Amino acid sequence: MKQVLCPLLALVCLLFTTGFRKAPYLSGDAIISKMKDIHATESEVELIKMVIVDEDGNTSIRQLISVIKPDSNGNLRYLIRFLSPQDIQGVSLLTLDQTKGASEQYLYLPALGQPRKITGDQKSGYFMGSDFTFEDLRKEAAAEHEYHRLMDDAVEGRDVYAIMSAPAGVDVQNATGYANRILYIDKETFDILKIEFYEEGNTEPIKIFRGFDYNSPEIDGTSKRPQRAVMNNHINKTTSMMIVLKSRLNVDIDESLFDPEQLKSWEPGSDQPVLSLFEKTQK
Amino acid sequence: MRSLFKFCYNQAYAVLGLFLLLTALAIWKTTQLEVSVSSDKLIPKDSPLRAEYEAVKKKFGSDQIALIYAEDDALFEYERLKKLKALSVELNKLAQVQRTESLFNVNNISGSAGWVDTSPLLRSIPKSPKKLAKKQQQAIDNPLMLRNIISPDGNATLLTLYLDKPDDADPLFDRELYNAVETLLQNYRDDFGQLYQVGSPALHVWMAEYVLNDQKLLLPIAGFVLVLLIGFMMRSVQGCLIPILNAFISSAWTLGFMSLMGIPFNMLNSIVPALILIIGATEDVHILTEFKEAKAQGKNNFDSIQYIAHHIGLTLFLTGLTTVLGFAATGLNAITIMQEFGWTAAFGMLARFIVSVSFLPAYLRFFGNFIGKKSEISSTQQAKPIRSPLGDRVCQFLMDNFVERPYSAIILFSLIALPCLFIINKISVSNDLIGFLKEDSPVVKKLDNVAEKLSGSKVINITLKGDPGDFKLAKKLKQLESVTQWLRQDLRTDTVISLADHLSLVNQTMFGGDIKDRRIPDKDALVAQYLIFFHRSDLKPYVTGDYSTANIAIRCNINDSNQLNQFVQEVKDTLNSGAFGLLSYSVTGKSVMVAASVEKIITGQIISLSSMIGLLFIIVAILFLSARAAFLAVLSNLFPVVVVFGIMGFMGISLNVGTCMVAAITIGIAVDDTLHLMVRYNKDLKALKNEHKAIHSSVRAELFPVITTSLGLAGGFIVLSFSSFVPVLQFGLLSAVVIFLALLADLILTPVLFSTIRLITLWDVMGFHLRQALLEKSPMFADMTKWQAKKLILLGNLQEYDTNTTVIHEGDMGDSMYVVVDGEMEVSKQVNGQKVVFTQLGVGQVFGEVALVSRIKRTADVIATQPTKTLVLDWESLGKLQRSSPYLSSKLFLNLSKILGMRLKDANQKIESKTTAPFPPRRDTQTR
Repeated sequence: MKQVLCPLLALVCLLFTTGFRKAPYLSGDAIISKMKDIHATESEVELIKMVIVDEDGNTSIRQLISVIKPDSNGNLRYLIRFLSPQDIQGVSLLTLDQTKGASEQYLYLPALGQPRKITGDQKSGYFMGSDFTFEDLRKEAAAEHEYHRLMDDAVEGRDVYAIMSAPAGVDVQNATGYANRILYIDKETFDILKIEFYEEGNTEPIKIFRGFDYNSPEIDGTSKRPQRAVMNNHINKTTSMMIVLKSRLNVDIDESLFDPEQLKSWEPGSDQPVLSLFEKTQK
Repeated sequence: MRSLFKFCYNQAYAVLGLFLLLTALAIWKTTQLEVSVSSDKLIPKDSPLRAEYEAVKKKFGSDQIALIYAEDDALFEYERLKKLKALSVELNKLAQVQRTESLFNVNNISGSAGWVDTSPLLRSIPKSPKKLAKKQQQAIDNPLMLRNIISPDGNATLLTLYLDKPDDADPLFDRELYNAVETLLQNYRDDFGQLYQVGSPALHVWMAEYVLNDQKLLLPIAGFVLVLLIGFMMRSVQGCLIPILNAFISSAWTLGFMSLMGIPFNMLNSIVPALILIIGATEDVHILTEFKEAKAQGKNNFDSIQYIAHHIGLTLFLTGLTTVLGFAATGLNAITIMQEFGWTAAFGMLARFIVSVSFLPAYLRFFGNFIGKKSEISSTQQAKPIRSPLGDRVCQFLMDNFVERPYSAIILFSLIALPCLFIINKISVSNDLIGFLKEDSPVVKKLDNVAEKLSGSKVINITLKGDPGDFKLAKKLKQLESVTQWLRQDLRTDTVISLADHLSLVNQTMFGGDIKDRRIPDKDALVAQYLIFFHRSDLKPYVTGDYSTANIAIRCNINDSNQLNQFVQEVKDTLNSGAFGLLSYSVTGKSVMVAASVEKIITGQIISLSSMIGLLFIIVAILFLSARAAFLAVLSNLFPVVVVFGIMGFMGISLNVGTCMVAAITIGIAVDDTLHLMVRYNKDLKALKNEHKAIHSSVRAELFPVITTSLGLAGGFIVLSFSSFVPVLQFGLLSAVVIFLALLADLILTPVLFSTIRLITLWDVMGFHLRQALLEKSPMFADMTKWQAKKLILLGNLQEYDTNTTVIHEGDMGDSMYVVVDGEMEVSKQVNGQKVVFTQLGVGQVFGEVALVSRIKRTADVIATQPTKTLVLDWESLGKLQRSSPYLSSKLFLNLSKILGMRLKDANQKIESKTTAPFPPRRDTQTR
């Protein structure tokens, strides 16, 4: 008995002398907040190739520029404009986030001549024939969602936080196309590696987003986005990819780009000022 | 046949053991038999439309759909819609489902202030009743949804499941999907006023259930009819058991054969067991009747079996052959379901024949004693109706009114048949799976309800073709829009949707929602920019990825293949006319292929009927050695077919996969009685030497069996009218009519036609022993082959005389000449009370020829000195010979004229030499 008690007592004493070190536990909100902080920029300009593959393997390729910049209140503004193919060149989507989580959207079709304002319901609509919806393309809107941390997981051999995101209120719920999402965030880099999208009543994800090659050397410049963002649509059995070709962060961007009234002033060649941003060396 | 009967009787243990083994194997194989009903079976495998259909299916997705119909007075309530969405999600997960269309995923192109929303109407379900009412109205107002997804009153909706069904799909595909859907629906039925599935899988499963239910109904009724028939004919319980046992074995073999060959049980070949039972019974009745007769004559079982083989062996073979060929002829059709029926039924009839001629002799070795026990009573009872005064009166009536006055019969039958010939072209042709079902069946009612509230389940794709990018051009899209609108105005279509509708709706929305702006924009660039509102999967059913081909998807409820073909033809004519500009197009769809197969039904009908007629002609021509007899047999059996076609035309009964089998099958069966009659006539003619007497005798003898077997068969076919399937029902009733008409033809027309000719059979000629000396010596058979000589003798009046029989009496008036075929005769004369023999007549010699030329008194006696056969020729028999066999009679006349010429020459010489001998020397003939 003595032989057993002595080592046990020694072990207890050792534990008390060294003390318990409690690992910091991050909540879902905290992880999202940290992720947003890490990925925060003053502005982003990206040249993106969008590839849409249907279930028969037919591929359509579009090229677009994405410009993101917060306004003076910190609300993000997004401009997406197609560069090719030629028949949709100049088609632009301008999204202006509002303070209370709502957003205004404007669409400009050059052939129509006038920009059209988009109603709030459009968030859930597919973006320009791809498998990304309007809301998929926005930065994570933390104010509109509640986050619950699930058991940690691993994606592609990397440890990740698994966070379940659900609409924070009825308005958001009515506007969104998803009942909830599960975000898989790299524990080390806080990059989003995977998102599963769920519809109401469906236990299987309807879409899965995967982000590959963050900080890829293949991107001309630095980016907060994955070099390849792949969205698999399990309902339509289609796939859409967004490949970042060029990226510049924290560059000066002309405010008029985010003016809805200026959308109609687009004409072939008027994207040159934006494109010239890629000629600048990343700060 | 006799050898086979003998072998099976002697080796009874081995035969019964073999049958037991084969039947057990067949039953084991039958357990693997599948029941399958599919519209694919109504399409020829080599259909030229198939390649185009497959190409369109590959480009635009499946047109094979299952529909879930949900109806409720308060459909647009939050909880109900939530349940419906949950159901939709669960249905979409089924492995067999390629995609679904519902309120929850079909584009609801709407917008305000110029913005377009192409997201589904109910991506999320609002809770507010006001918003729900608005959504309901939006759905009704949307041409992409109205009648496609939602009923005009907004209370019924369809969940459309587009199925991922490969061509080589598992036969259980439909059943598995149906069951999976039913399992899901069970959980939701209480939430809706009506909730059920329709569409091709459900239809196929329901019809398969009908097939099995038919078996439960048809077989017992057929068995009951059989027992009645046999009970009436044989009055023997034992006799009832054998045909049922025979039918059981044959049916087991047939089902085993189907399983082995991968032929599924379907709505047509499912009637084969009933047919085996009914048709097979008539053959068994013939066999058992003969067996009883033999037993009544005191024969033992073995001799009785031999007696059957001798008496009806050949007839059994012939009738078995024609029946098998009749069924096989229906398989000469490009339509798969008919091929399967033809081969199955032909195998079934063959199996039944094999069982009859091999199992039965073995069986009767052990159980034959039970059948013959009351033979005397039975035979007496059996004989009664044959000798009944009623039968005599009927027979006499037929003879007096028809055979004796053949023109009255021919005019009567012509008056019936000729108008029918003119009505035949009014027969419509139909090929439609739904058309198989009765109008009051629950399945049709469900389909009609869905079609009435929403749209039919028939899918037609009109595909317009161009170069890559063409259907991004406003000009081409305007053409597409015009065609779409034209089709939509056609009342026969329920829904018509194309890419033009999607773009028009976007245009309308972008310009403020005014209906006048629901049109294709004028600028190509605007079209291209409108297209970015759509996900590729939204447009997949309507345009190819390279925009070279556009598809107009039509849903309709045209269940009459003629109407469908007419619709398709009108579409083609209009598109060809250039009314919408120059267009390269195709019209496809499974229903289009099925409807287009009506041509194959007509072709199949012509092939099977002409094959059967050809085979009948060849069989009769060979067996009775006469093209004329073959022609008359065909004519007699065509009468009921022509009349039944007339009835179909008159009553509006369409030619379908069921009714197009009637002609070939019933000819194959009805000809049995004709053959029975012809064989009997041949026998009686040989015995009675007079056509009318032979006809009377043979009609009298066959009257009872022909009437009873015909009524039995007609009754058996009427059993099929209890089937759930219209073509089977029509097949049964029309076949019964044909059998009844064939009975009339066999009792009236056939005797009239055959009374004009002499019949000999192949086996008569083969069995006739002709001495070679006859051919060598007789001038009458000069330049004839042995076969021709035999045929000539048998067709002529062959008389047999015993020894010392006087063939010619001196002083009698005569008009016939004679040829000694066998035996010997002497020519003598009584001179002063003493018999003076002038000469002996041997084989081949001719005598009495002068009487043929000029009716004169015989100048001497001719007496047979040994059993003798002579061919007796007079002008009447020569005339009949000329009609029966013109070629042979021409040779005969040539030889006859030579003989008469020689006689004239001899007479002249006699006059010159003043010879008074009554018979000139016959050096000329004997030296030949």
